[in-house]
Amino acid sequence: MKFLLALLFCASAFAQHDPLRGPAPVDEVGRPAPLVNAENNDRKRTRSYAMQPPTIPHKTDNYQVDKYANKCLDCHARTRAADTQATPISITHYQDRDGTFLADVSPRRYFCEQCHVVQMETKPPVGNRFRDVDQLVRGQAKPPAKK
Amino acid sequence: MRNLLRRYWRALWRPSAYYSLGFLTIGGFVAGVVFWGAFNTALEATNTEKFCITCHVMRDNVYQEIQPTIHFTNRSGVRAKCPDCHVPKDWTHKIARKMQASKEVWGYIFRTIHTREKFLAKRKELAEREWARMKANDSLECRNCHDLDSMDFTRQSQRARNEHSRELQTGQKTCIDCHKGIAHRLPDMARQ
Amino acid sequence: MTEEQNLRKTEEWRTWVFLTVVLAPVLAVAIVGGFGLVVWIWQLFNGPPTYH
Repeated sequence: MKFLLALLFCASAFAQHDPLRGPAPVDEVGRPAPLVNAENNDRKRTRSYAMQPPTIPHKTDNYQVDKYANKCLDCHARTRAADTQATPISITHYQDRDGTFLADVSPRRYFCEQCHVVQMETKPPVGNRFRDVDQLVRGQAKPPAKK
Repeated sequence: MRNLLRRYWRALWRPSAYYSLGFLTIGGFVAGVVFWGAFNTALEATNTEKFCITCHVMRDNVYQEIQPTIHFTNRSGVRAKCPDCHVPKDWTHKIARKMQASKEVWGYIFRTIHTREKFLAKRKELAEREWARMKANDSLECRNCHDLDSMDFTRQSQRARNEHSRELQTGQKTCIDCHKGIAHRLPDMARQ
Repeated sequence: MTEEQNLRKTEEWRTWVFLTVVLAPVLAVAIVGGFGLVVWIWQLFNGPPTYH
């Protein structure tokens, strides 16, 4: 642990920094990044892989999801889809862990935001060199530029 | 004693011999104005958020729930208080609601929703009463501030735009149909 | 003024005060409150107000 700290200190001397901390040296308190809002443009985003739970394209401030009520389902339930034109939840949400189909949302899928998240209106603070399997399959030679 | 009452009763019906017409009329009129002012001040005092939250049931339950919501704290600081949504502005309906408040006085005295458990048990019934009221008057309390004709759809998000132009403008739905739970938490929706 | 006249003047004053400070306010509150009650009962039968 002490060795790592020493290493980090030396690293800061060379102006390396943790992008999540910002540019402040390790022995100073940095300025926190300003708060940002969630993207609210209602445009579907590409999923990074087929099984990815789609990210939420609108803000969900104060949406109540507890044992009393589920605000998300007010629009995204199967029975509400025609009225609201919101993407109804997929069949996977009605399956219990044995794959049996239930009449209503399975309790294991009830809490939407355990899997589905909003995206904030900001640039990602940490780099990402993830490659879509689609690119691998089509044989892209080099990885894409660091985002 | 009976003699006293009989004398004053007679004085009530006899014309005044010692006080002028001017005094009686204008004095009565001024007193009436003062009374009406006091009456309305008292009425409006019961129409404030401060008054509502003197009751612990309101203060510890619904007042706590509204605090993180947009009707309490937001970018512009324009906010709604209890009577803005829950007391009709029209005088006749306001007075009717104030008389209906005797139910709340009853509840206060006989502790019908005194504890959190009792409150949660009765919550859906209370909520449905309010939703029915708003549905009946086409969300009038919402429209007191949120005027449809002044709503700039170009500044709304796409789904707000879609829903408002498709359902609200055509009169198919009213505000409360979709915006339940925007101020206070929703009750146990599964409860019958 | 005679004793009788003074008494009558006092009676009139007290009656006026009673009317202005007690009876009229109580009557006003009772009438307005009663009106409110009537409207409330009417609304129980005819549903909440539907006006725009």
